[in-house]
Amino acid sequence: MGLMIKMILAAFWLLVVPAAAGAPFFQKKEIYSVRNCFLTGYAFLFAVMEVLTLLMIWLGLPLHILTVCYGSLGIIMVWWGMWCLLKKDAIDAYMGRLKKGKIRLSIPMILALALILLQMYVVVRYAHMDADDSFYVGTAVTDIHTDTIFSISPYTGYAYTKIPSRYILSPFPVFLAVVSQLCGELHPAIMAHTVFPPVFLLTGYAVLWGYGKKWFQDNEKSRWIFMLLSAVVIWFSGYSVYSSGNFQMVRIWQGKALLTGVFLPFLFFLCMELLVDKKGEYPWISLFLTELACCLLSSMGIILAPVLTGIFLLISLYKQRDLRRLLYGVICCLPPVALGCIYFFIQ
Amino acid sequence: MKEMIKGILDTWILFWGSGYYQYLILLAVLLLLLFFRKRKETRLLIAYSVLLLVLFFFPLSAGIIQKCIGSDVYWRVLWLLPVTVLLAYTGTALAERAGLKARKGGHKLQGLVLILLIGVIGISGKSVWSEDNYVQVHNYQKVPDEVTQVCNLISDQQEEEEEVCVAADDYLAAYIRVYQPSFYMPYSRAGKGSQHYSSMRLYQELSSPDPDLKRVVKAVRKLGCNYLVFALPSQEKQEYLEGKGYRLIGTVNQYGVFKQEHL
Repeated sequence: MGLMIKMILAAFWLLVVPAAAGAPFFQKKEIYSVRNCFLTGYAFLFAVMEVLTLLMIWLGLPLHILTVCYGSLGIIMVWWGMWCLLKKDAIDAYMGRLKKGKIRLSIPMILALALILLQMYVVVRYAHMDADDSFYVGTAVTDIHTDTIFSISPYTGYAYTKIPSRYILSPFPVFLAVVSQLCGELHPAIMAHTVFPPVFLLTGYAVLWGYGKKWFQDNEKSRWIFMLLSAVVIWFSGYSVYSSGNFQMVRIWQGKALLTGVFLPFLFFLCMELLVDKKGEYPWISLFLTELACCLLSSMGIILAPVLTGIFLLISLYKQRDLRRLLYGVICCLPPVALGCIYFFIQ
Repeated sequence: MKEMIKGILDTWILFWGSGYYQYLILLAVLLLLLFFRKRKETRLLIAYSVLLLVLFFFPLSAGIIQKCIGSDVYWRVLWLLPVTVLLAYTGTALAERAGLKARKGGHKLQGLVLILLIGVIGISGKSVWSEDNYVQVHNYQKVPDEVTQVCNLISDQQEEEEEVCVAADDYLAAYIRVYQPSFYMPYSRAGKGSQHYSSMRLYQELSSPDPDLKRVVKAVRKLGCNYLVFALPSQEKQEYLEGKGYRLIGTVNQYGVFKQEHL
């Protein structure tokens, strides 16, 4: 299959499917936003991938079964998402909103867009050598080659002698394997190093745009200043190899980088909306799904997601004194807490 | 307790590396308190950051988290600090204020403030676009070019139904199976995946500048590796390897690729 067709398939699985998969969660909301649907769609897909993968590892099923299940779910979600959008005439309303709201060009807007596009160009054009790939990309490549899930060591090609307890509960490499298969058997290294980075960098900026939109509602220019400064802060994060911005810019195809660069800021935003503010754009299920998505990305997500939510629960309790929110928040934290317990059990 | 506090402080210093972002954050918090303390997002950002830092620095909570994630990666807790959001929000609020305050020439003042802010961020940090982070390669998989050449060389030599087991130095070992998953290896980067004493020994030898070939051959035979890749040794050592049944099938940059002949 030609590389171009594989890239079109990649655009479908990494952009269209998440955007459509998020739409059903916003049925009760007044308006649809592509960005909200896209981010919640990713949270949903990652959460589903976490559950499906763990189930299939436990049952000892081959990778192609997981690929078929995830692929079928993706197609169903696209169909369901499109149906939701058409039912509410959301596409017409969205196009109407776009036509109504004039886009005013400003210098911060041009600079922010230019810088973000430049960052995307750099991650596509150049390569970053990271020895961690021997595990993360290696697992995806090995699982495809052997049609197994987490049973062959990516380091050697021989069967694991003991469970890789540190990684097995956060099987993000399996997502890489599945999506690579769905994109016409694109080599996972190409998917990870060339396709994932611009998509996830864009996803990260979609999260940041949410902050700008929320905090600078009435001033479009300020929103773009916020985006420009965010892009500059990330650009100059090379002061340490441990910084979030460095992970985001250099190796975003790895689950932990996606966690720190995209999903922890998204979780922060959701906590702010659902636990502290009075009215938010997102439904509660988004928070639940995002907690579970964090678990897929990295074992760090299993602990960091509830810590972040816990801090917000304290703030919420002090500010809102609303026990219902507290209860919902605690329920949303249950998946990582449960996985944390399993981790200690299998260690 | 003293050790724990020292460990936490060391982690803090390690995380911020050579930059000044930590001072920039402090400055941002002070500016927010000074000019924008009535905004609810200011209060939320500061309350969250303070609570997180209390959790990070307090030995008891630090101890619990370190037990869960391991003390060597405790720095990852600082990923929870909303650095980008906090700095960008403060900068935007300042730029917005500059635009509103100045009645005449507001745009110019705002532009100047923005340039100043970008300059300060730039000086406080370090661009991620450096040679350490990005390189140019000539393969779609974006693995080191040597890896693709070594793997292709081995594939060309591979006989029908021959199982390839490659032992390589630390640098190549990390990427060989990323490019070619049908190959087996006795270990990967940093000796990971090693299941025998011999494979760890082999890893150490092949990663050293001057491997002891006697030990290498002994380990390789024990592990059943039929391909060896490491820095091309002297002619004398190549002859030694040939005597032991390892033929040089090609070179890639500084590397020599050896194949075990049928005995």
